Amino acid sequence: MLKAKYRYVFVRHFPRDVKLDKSEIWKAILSSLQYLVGTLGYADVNPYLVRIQKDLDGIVIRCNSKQVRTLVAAIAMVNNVGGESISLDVRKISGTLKALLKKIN
Amino acid sequence: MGKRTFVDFWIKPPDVNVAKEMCKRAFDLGYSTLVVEAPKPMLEELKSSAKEYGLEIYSKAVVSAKTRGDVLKAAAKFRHSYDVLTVYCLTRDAALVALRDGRVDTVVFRPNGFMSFDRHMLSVTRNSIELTLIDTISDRVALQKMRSIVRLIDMKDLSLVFSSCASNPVEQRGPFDVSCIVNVLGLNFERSLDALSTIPLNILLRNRAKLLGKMVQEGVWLAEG
Repeated sequence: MLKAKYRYVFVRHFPRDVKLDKSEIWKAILSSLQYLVGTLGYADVNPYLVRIQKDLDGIVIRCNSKQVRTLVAAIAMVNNVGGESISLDVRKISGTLKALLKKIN
Repeated sequence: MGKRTFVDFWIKPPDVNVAKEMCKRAFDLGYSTLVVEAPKPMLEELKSSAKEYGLEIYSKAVVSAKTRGDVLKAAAKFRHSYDVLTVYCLTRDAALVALRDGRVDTVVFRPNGFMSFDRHMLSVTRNSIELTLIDTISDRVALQKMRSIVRLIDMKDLSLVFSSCASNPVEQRGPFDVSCIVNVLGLNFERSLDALSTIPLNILLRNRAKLLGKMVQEGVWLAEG
């Protein structure tokens, strides 16, 4: 069986002074993705919220490596989370979680 | 191939302070040129602060046109005083003229105006078509119309410019993020990047040269010596 290839995407919100719950950001991204590409496209992207012990000021999402642009588009289209007007910026993309964390720090 | 330089082809800050914040944000996101729709005194003030970030500022006039005459009047009035002239068409008649007039740089299609394309319009199109990020994000019905326009652009090999039309820093997005959106709308990724870099840059360079008198006519440049 072929091994699935992933990409890890680090997302941070702007403005930085707005306090947001990570699960709310995640929900907003999923809803944007579902709207943009539908359920089948959503399944292709296969997004997964990576839970990290370290305290990061952003979230890490894992997705199918071939569909990373679709995920980035969905992230860019989020403009409201929990009633706050914000934008989500993709700061880093990497092939492994270890490399991504190294790049962030 | 060299590194791309990215252009945000339309921002419209309400005042100087917001404009300065938008310059900072644009710099952080990786843009090197901004095209600003603002009054002339504000632009002058903004140019000095944009230099801090190494950004280049160009001026833009956006004109709403209902009739053929509106487009022609606007082209005669604004062409020589602004770097970029964009026409926002409210009717098909206006769109037909704006798409082929050599003095117009881009024709913007937005949800409240005229937002469809037919074979006749395609055959006369000479100018770039501009779509905005703010409509993609805020108007979900417009997204479907944009998809069909982008598909036509891809099919007929027309040139597309994608701008943010942001009026505050929260509405700005990075060039990679925006080109991913254009890619998802139906254009291939290289052409999506061109919509934010090569195509707008060529328009700006050509217009600046014309305003400075370095370009006599389309394709005829004065030799420096």
